[in-house]
Amino acid sequence: MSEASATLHEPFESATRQREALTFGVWLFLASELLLFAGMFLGYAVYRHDHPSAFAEAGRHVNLLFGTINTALLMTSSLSLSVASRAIDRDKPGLSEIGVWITLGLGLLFLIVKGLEYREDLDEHLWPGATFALHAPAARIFFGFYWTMTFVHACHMTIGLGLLSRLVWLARRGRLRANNDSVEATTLYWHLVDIIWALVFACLYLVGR
Amino acid sequence: MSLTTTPGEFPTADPDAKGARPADGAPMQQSFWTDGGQTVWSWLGTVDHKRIAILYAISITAFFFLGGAAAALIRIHLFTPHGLLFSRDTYNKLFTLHGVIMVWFFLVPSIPSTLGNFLLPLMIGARDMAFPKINLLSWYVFVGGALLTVIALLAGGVDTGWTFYPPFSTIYSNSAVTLAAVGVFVVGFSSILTGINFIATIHLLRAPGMKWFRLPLFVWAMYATSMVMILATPVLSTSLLLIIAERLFGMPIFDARIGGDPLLFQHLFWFYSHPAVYIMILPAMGVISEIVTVAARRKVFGYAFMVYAMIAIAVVGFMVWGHHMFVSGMSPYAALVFSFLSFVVAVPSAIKVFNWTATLYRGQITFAAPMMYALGFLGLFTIGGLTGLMLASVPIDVHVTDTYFVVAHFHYIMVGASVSAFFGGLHYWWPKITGRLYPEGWARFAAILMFFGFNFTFFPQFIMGYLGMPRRYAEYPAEFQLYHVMSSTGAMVLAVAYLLPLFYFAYSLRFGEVAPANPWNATGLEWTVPSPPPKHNFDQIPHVENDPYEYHAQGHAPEHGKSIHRGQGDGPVRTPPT
Ligand SMILES: [Cu+2]
Repeated sequence: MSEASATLHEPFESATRQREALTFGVWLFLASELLLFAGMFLGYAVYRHDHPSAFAEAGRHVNLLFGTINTALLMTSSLSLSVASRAIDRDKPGLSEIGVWITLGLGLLFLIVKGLEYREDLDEHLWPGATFALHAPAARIFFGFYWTMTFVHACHMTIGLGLLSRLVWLARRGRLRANNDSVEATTLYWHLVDIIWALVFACLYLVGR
Repeated sequence: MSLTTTPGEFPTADPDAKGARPADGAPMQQSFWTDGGQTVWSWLGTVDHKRIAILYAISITAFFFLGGAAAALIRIHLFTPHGLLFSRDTYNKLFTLHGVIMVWFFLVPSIPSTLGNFLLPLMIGARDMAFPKINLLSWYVFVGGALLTVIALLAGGVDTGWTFYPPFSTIYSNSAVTLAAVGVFVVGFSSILTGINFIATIHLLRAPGMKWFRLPLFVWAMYATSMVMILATPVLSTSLLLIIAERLFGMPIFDARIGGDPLLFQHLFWFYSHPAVYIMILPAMGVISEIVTVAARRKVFGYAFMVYAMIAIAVVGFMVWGHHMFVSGMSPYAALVFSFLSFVVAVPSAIKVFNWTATLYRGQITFAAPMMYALGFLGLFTIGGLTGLMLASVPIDVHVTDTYFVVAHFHYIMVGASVSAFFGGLHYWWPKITGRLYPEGWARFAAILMFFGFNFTFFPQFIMGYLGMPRRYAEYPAEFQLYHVMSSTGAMVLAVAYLLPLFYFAYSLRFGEVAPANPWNATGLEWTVPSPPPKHNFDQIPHVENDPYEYHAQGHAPEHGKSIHRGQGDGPVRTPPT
């Protein structure tokens, strides 16, 4: 098994166990992350129930095109990172590196598209400030969630890009195989960010259209 | 070694580890204090769980005395009905400072990040935490976040109370709420990282033979606490994040003027902050289980029940948050369910109290300082728990909501119980951590003083609260002065009791007798390694062949009245002069 090739750190005495610990730790972290977003989804659901028409109106002003492009980018990036993760476990560091590069590129593209979308939103006065464009008062709450949730998600994307950059750096120095557990950990995290986006996309872009 | 072997003495799991013990009375041995360097960076860059525990201990001690100073000022102010020292505004900032610092920067990290960090790997037979670097990171995150908040609290001041309720915190307060919330948000990540580290360590680094049901109850307590940390803290993060978003960027999520719901914040906040009470009390329960068994020289009564009770507390604790909101206009059906579940969560706590008491039955109880603290815990926790039941029933809660009755209740749990246990644990493991024995007489005196000082401070608050004295006011009607004076006087006594250990612990570091590896003649792997432990804990990873707390053979209580040799007095066994 290539698992045994990972470098052993204190306090572990077996590489398998060390890898188990890392994977387990990441899963625990993901459970925690899920609850971080759960609070926001709960709030969103409560308000959607309280103000159905205002939320439906506000939902129609979100840019579906950009949202869809981003969903496609992110889903594809999860695929490429899965390939990278499997490849390193089958001793194909070259293929793995390509997968990581593609993921990194798609992730960057996501943030660029998100930036373009934010610019459009601001042009359309969708920031819930003094010049807010919509009339229904509760539409401001919808956009409160829109900006907060997408921003928090973008922060997670940025952290994910940092982790991917680290993998690229390791790959450049030929140390990807020795850190195959890092590849798995990054992949798990990236998938979570991806799944959260799928939920954000469904709630903010699709419901009520 | 001068200990007489008793029939119940714990067979050491690994004879080699015992052989590595330094000669009694020798000067400071090679240990984690010296190994790995003595430079500042060797401490600030350490990944040794024991050194990180010391770093945490120093930081939370500073926060404890900062928060305590605020409490002392509050109590001095309240000596007279019109208040002695502060304006109303300053008073608001003062109780916020006290609450925020004590809850997030002292109570939540107290036992887990100091005793837990130090002992968890030792107790399960591991060389370190599963993620040593993350462990250090969590300390930096803690200190960084806490300093942000402390700056906000001291420089600008925050007047919302530790609960940050909107719309006051989002729209009306002109104080440094945003920075304080950012700091608490950051500190939350430290809790989460610690929780992940503990759980992964317990799952994956137990020594061979250390089965789940051989774990000391302290380890189980850390496990249950970590679960709550991981699953509750992120919800606090969300609620603070939404407050920050509203204050800083005008995202009107809790703004009732446009249909927002400030009560939603309370739901999110208490979804964390009720379980947070268990983050504070579960570790205390773990400490007490260790102390009570060794002080009575008894197997813990109903080990499995103790474990299930802690898990039950952790799980059911997630479903009772609504009892903080009985007067918020929630539906009577919701109130009924929350009230019922709050009664349910008291059952496992009661089981634990009964089991500790039953452990003492027919035990050969010795009253060393840790046991004095443990007995104090039992009394104070019971009072706090029973008044908690009163508050869980809606009619009484409606009557005493936002009065000193509530203040007294949660101080009995969080200070009376939790802090007593923390001090008990500190005394109990002090010889292990520092390699020195503390002065037993002074320690017992401090324990007794703490118990009486505490009751003196907070029992009058039950009475005045029941009579209608509301909390969080800088002034009060003259009829309550008697109670306030009693409470403030008690607080002064309590302050002395908290300061005393600081001095005699410091004294013992320099002048205390050198501690043997196992001064209490206790079971548990942490007592098989030298005091203080070497950097890598175990020369060889031990093999565990016994259940915990093997103080006597199964089914045989030690003969009544036949006391075992414990050196002079009941404190840690002193090494006789040779
Ligand atoms: Cu509660």
